[in-house]
Amino acid sequence: MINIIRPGMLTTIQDTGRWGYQKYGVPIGGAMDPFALSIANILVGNEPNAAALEVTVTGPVIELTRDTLVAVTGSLFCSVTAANSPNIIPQWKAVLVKKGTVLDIGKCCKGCRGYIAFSGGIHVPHVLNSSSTYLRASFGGYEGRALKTGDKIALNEPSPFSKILMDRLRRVDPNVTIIESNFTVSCSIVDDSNSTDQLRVVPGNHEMMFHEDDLHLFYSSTFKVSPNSDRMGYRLDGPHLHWKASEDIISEPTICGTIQIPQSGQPIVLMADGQPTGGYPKIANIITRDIWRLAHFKPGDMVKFTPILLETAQSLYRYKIQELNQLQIGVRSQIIREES
Amino acid sequence: MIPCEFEPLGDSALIIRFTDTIDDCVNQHIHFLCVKIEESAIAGIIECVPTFTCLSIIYDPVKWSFTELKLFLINFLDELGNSDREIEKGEMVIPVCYGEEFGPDIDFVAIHNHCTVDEVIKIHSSTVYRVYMLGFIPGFAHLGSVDHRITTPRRSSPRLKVESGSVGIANRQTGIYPYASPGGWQLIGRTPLLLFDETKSPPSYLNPGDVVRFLSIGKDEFYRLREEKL
Repeated sequence: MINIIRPGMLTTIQDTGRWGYQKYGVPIGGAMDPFALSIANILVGNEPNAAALEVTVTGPVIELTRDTLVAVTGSLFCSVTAANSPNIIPQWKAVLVKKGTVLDIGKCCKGCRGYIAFSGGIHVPHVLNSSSTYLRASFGGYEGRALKTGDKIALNEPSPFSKILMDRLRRVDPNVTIIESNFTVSCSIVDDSNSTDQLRVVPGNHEMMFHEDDLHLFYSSTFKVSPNSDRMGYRLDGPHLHWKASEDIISEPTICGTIQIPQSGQPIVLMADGQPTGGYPKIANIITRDIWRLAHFKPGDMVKFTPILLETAQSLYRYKIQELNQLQIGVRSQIIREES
Repeated sequence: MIPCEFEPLGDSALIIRFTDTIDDCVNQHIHFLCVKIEESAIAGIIECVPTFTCLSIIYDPVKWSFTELKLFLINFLDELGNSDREIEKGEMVIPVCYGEEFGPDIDFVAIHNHCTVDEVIKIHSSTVYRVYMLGFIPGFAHLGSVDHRITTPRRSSPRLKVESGSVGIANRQTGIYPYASPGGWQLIGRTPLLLFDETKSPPSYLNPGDVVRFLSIGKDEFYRLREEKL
């Protein structure tokens, strides 16, 4: 069980999404940075799609009521600490947190969304096949809402991998509250989360609805993330982009990463909780490999778009998935090898 | 076979576009295709989203490249070409209490179309509609087409809160708000039915492609039906 002592700014339960219901108007949802969520899960011995906490800007203070493996990933936090422990808890690494320990996740100092996975994964009733919280329609996750002080969250039974790792770490020193595992993810995965303002896109299917000059403006300008940005969409401020025709288009499919240009001329990027359909021209689409990066941008941050080929975008995604698969195999063999 | 074009939608979805206008026959074909593709349970195809003029296919780029999937689908559509393309759909009846506090814009709709409120009710409830698509909010069915005698544009300024079950008109479409939400459609009545229930599968009372008719009911009936639902 996890007791929420302080919830942080906006902490919700998320998994890798609610697939299969877009034709009923239900967005996929799930973690804004699904790669960070999956890595946190892999590190504590869970399946990559298990439910975990998504933290926004300010993390929660939580108490664990049983010995639990915890991994904190996503944005870089200023300091993750535990009551009664002098050391700062490392990120991108599984740590055994002893029963009764209070963890203070603190503030994000780089990026703005963090993930906390727990061995076993969070247990909430599945709504339409997913544990993800969909705030707009108030369902999924914990009572369809962000967490509050006093909430008690159940965890599933840990996997055999988690149990082996926990047993080993307990033996390291029975008297301390926090024990680090001896493996972490490669720097290439972590470094990537701190990279540039450049987001790679593939052309949208309504490119022809814009004048050549406006397309050029879109790719050469820097846009500022508006305060009016959330899990549904990121609004960007910058030069006005004009349509050739003056009418809205008939509503048609959109997807996470779709960049729409409404009549105001200011781009809207659809994020995890974005609607599956929309009636604005689509100028471009952020590639699946990069969309998580925008999830870490805060209001006032600057972004630029770089076009790449569709084939390249798909190769980059395949490479990322391969990397995650290898990480899972690596973590599991590490756990088993040291045991034998 | 209805001619179509394939367009990428990002790197993990594609759009099959059949038309640029709202056409009842083409839209039915889109729903037919959606059912057929999903029934085939093709590895790497995650889900389909039918809309007015096109169908999107969400796929796993680890299993398919855009070009491979496009070629596969061209072949799939070709083979379907000669098969029976009718999907049997029962008629869904939606009881609606028209006017007064449930339909605050019904007078505007009547004035806009130079007719009486009773005529608006009669025309709206005697048309047979189809669910062209669901979207905007979960379970919001876009129904068409509204009889040209009562079409009305959206409100110039949207309401901050439209009550759940409200039935509205926007140009040639009519729709029902499944739960309270901001909205700009002209409200003419309200249904006591629960249109979206995330604890059920499918979660939506109306499904893409359904045939729908509205039935005018009184206030007593409205409250009686609503009690039954709770």
